[in-house]
Amino acid sequence: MAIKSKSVEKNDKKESIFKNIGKDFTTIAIVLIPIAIGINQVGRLISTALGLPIFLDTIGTIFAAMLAGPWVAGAAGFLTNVVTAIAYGRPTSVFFGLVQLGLGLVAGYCTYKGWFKIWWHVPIIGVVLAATATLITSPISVLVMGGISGTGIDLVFAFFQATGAKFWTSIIASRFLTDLLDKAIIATYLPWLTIKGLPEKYVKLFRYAKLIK
Amino acid sequence: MPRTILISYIERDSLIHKLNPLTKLTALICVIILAFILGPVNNLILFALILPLSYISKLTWDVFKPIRYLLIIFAILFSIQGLFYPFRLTPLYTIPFTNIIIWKEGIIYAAEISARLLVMMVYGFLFVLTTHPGDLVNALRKLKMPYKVGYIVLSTLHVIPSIQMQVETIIDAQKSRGLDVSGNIIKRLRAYVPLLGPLFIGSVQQAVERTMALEARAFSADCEKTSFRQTVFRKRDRNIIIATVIISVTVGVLSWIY
Repeated sequence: MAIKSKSVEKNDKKESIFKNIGKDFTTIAIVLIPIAIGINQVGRLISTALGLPIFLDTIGTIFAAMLAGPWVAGAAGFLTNVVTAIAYGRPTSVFFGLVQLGLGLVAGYCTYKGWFKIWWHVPIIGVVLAATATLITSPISVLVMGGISGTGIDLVFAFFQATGAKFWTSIIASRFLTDLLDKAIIATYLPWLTIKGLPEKYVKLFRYAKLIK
Repeated sequence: MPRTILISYIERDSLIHKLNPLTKLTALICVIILAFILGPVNNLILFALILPLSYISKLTWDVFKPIRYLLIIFAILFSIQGLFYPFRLTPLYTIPFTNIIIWKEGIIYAAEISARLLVMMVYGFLFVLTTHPGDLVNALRKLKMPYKVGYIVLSTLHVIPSIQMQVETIIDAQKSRGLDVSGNIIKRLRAYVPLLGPLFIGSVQQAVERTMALEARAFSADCEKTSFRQTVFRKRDRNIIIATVIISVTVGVLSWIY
């Protein structure tokens, strides 16, 4: 099979990550991107259906990072927001694409380094991802939306401001709290568990999945 | 029947529909940049200009649909910033019998943000309603955008509804086995695991099948790809692009000076 031979041939872990950009975009990786975007959207839908105060719209991006590496995941993350903008006509969501891009790159780099192999590394990487997301989201959210998101995060934000905390402190603190719950607990563990249990015949189709197993 | 493609496009026979997507995209980018430069009052004037445009596009009231979503955001924005804005100085109004004060600076800040959001959302929605995603991708491909990026954007619009149906099936199946989706936050978070597990495995399977289907149709072959939808770049497109850019630069510079 053509797809198999392409991704199995070389296991060039020592090569610099920047030389992988072209090679990472195999056909199966390109097909994975729309599916990752779909999972991102569905994650958000389920979280509103269950009434949770978090977004959970990065699960697909992190899933793609674990299977196909940083470049594919970054593309999947950024395109998630581009597609939201095209489908629903919300140009503001393109700005937040930078958050997803950053998350995909960081999660993919951790996969590339093989840091996901050990179970207790997963929550640590989750905290790093939450910090990344907070650092990129906060300025964009203030500039575009005035710090408001239209979800449960706003209550936390209002609470911090009411206690007299500074503007940036309350934005960053409220985002980081919810991002911790989101990334460190669910959005990293669920894809990780799935890939740990993925049948061998699928693992060898993806370049990065074997760095987790 | 469930929808099989995620799309807001409404087919009409109007001047705006017939414009090249690139023309509309340039105009939209100009409007978004202007929305960041202009103050709240000027932004409301810019917002009022949507009325003739929606009349020309024969869409009438459809253009204003995003306002329903925006009203929630505005309500939260005005209440949080009006009450707790950190750079508060002048009280605007004190609610009788309480010591809750609404601050002037917070209201001004909220007005600024909401006018900007209003302009961006309504114009973005007009763009989406009048432009078929296929046309947009086709026009961008003529500007040397890689074919694969176009594939990703278009196929995502089809994949999202199919994944949603998949999730509904999984939720129904798990509920019939007694999955509890009520209770406190920890309980609801736990309900996630049995929902997303099958979705992940299923999506990997789906990716493998799609890859084979695509390769069977010469997806990664290096050759000229044809497109079902065609776009033309007319002379009036060029004129409109030049006019919008000149007008927006003038308006932007003028409002920056004053």
